[in-house]
Amino acid sequence: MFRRRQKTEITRLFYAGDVHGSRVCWKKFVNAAAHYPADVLVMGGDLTGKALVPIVREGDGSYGARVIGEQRVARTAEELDQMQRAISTNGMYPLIVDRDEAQALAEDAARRDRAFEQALLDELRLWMEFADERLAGTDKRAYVIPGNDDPWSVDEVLAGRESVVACDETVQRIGPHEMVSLGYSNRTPWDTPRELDEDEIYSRLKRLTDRLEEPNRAILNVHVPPYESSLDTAFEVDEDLRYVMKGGRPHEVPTGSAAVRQIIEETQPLLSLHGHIHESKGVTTIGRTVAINPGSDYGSGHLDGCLVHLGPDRVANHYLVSG
Amino acid sequence: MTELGEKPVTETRPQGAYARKATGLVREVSPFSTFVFNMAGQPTSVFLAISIFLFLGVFSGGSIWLGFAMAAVVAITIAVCYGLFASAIPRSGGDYVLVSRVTHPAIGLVSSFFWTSGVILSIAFIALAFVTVALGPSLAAVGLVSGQDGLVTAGNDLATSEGWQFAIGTALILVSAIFLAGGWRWTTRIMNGLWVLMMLGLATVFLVLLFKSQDGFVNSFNQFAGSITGEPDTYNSIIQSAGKEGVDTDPAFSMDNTWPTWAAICSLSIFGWLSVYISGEVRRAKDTTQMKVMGLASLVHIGIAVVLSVLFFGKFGQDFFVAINGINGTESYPFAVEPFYTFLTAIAGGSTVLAWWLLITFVAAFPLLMIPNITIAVRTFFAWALDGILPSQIARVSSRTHAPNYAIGLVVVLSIAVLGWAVTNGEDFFSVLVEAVLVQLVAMILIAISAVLLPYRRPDAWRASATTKRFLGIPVVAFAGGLVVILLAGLFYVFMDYSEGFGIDTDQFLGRDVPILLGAALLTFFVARTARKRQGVDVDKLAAEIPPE
Repeated sequence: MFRRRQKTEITRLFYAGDVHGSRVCWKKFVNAAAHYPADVLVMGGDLTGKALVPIVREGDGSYGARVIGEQRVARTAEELDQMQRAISTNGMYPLIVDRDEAQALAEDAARRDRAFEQALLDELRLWMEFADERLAGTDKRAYVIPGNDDPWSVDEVLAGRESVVACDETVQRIGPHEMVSLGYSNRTPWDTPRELDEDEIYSRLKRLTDRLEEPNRAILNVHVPPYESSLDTAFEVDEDLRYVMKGGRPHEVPTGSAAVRQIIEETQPLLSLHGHIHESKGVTTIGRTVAINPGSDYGSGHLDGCLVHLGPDRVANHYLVSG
Repeated sequence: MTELGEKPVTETRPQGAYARKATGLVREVSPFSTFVFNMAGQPTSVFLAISIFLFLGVFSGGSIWLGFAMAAVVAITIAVCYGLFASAIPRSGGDYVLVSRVTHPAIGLVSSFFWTSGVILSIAFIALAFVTVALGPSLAAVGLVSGQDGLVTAGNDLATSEGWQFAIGTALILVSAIFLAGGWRWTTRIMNGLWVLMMLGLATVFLVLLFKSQDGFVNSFNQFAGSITGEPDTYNSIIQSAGKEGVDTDPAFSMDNTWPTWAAICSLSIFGWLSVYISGEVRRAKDTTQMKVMGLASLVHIGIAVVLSVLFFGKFGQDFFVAINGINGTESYPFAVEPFYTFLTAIAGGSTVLAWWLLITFVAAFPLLMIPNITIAVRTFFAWALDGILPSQIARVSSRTHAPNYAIGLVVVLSIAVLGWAVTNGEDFFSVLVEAVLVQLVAMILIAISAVLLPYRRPDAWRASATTKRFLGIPVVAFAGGLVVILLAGLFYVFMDYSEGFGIDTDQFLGRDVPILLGAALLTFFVARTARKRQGVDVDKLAAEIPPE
């Protein structure tokens, strides 16, 4: 039933991923350190959002936008702020434009891409400032990696922060544990910015795990889940990004990385943390390794995460939470 | 993974947004399957058989038409309120998640204990009724219509044997659980198939009665019943018998008895919102789709019930239909089969094939009803486990199907235990079962109160929900929540006020069962909180929203 807490020293780690531009989810991630509480925060990639919502400034001083299919109007500064927050909570970037700019964005894909990138970088800078402000004066740090969806330009924003440790492709020490991190995914139908072939993922992870002093106490923080682990089940899609239907229903397939699975089987770390496949939330074991994908439902404004209590040599407890 | 639909990704974004290539969440349950799930929680064929006409003689003069209209108002108000609420917190777990996230985990658990106890009782009842209301009587009905005495005997033996009741009821629970353990892929296929079967059965009833005159039915009935009763005009003798039994077959309209008629209709017509228990798994949970699906499920259910009721009264004859339901269970009732519409329609059709078809389609409604009930209990226990109220093992899912097998197992064990009690001690069981709708009304009122509080206690979630529109200056979700509180409180009052007609023991309910549920919920919460605290975890925080600011 409810096992007693061990007398040994416990490291309390909070992990979440795939917040995809949801400001409220990022704030919750940072505040999770004080809320649960947790000694260490780990963010497993895919920080940036997927959609840009123009808020059009009208001639009468009001602002209009479609939010979740509903046309909303803001007439005061407070209402405008609330509209922006509603858009941001849903993991989209609000962009205030006048009618002409809205028209230009609608017609010019390159202009739209530039606006998108600028919006996501501006938002990410705000996130970093928030983390620095909240974690300043504590010994708690947020270890953050980008994911396959994140453009390369985010690396510059993540680097050199006070409380945020950009740890992609590094080995970090967390108490008595070492943590290996990798933000790339295997190939996807979407051709996203950070994808690698399986052999390249394997060689990069192998280089990192070879540096581990005590692999059996290590933590893997790898964006893509291991292949056929139950943490990687998603609907199959064709080249036009449509479901592959079998028997009248979308066909489910494992989409994880075989290289990640091989590394876990060979290294047998204590804990393996993953994201990427939002709907494949779960906990499993691969040999002695506890592997977790807490899933993501960033669009609801809830942060799906996992609170893990780590003893020196074992996972004492783990809780999938939705805060 | 990228958010997908049957259309390419760029077309699935809300209008007015520009999307870039990225990966995202795929939810499994389509709007159609969500619609079926919501209809499955209140199958129209079961409602027409056991939920309304039995009360015609009890609440004499009550208008079922007014009752239907009033029930439709309640059902639509609930759909608006719960649908918008779920769009703000699109998580699986139903009342527990909605109430606990807006008020407090302990209040959420109280709501959940009330609701889930009703669900577990319902699962046991469905399993029992599968034998005593569906299989047994339907076989006997087919036997009577086709003149096969062996089927009549078999049907009656089945319906009255405790051994068969427990064995077949248990089998139904287990088979339904196995469907669920197969994951949504199998569950939705089977659920949708059973729903189609039920709808085809109702369509058959509609067509048979549409093309049958009342005189034609009287002739068919007398021809059929004469061989059993030996009377040439059993039709009219039933009406006369009812009169002798004190059943008024042509009563004047009574508003006093329309209220309990409304309540009887509501008991299986205001549950078109059960997809809130799987909100985390349904597609388009953030917009108004789920609200519309809930409303549509309620309207389709009530619409079909109204159309078929018009046919029942018109073709069977109002006097006769009230009479045969009124004397059911008395010595004056001449048949070994309940006067369900399936039986009467089979007589009207006069065909053995039709009788078998109606049996199959009617029986299909019981596993259809079982699936959402088990799903609701499973999702509730799963949510409790995620929040640390139950051992975390209960929240583990199958690596192959993603089904929460431990939670399913827990529901199966509890349900079979209650079924055993129902079979061996039916009187006690039914005295508690009739309270199920009352305890569930308490939970529904708590959801509605939480909906009222949503814009004020969780303003960000409300602003990011499907609508921020206001009505009379009040957020629509809160306004609808207030209306639901008033309507359901009124419904609760009617059940209590007419408790004798519904067979409710108010002293037992208020003096024993409510305190037991309340105490058990609070005890569970505080035991879990203490146990988790010893593990260094605060249950209040596991269940709570992380403060964003």
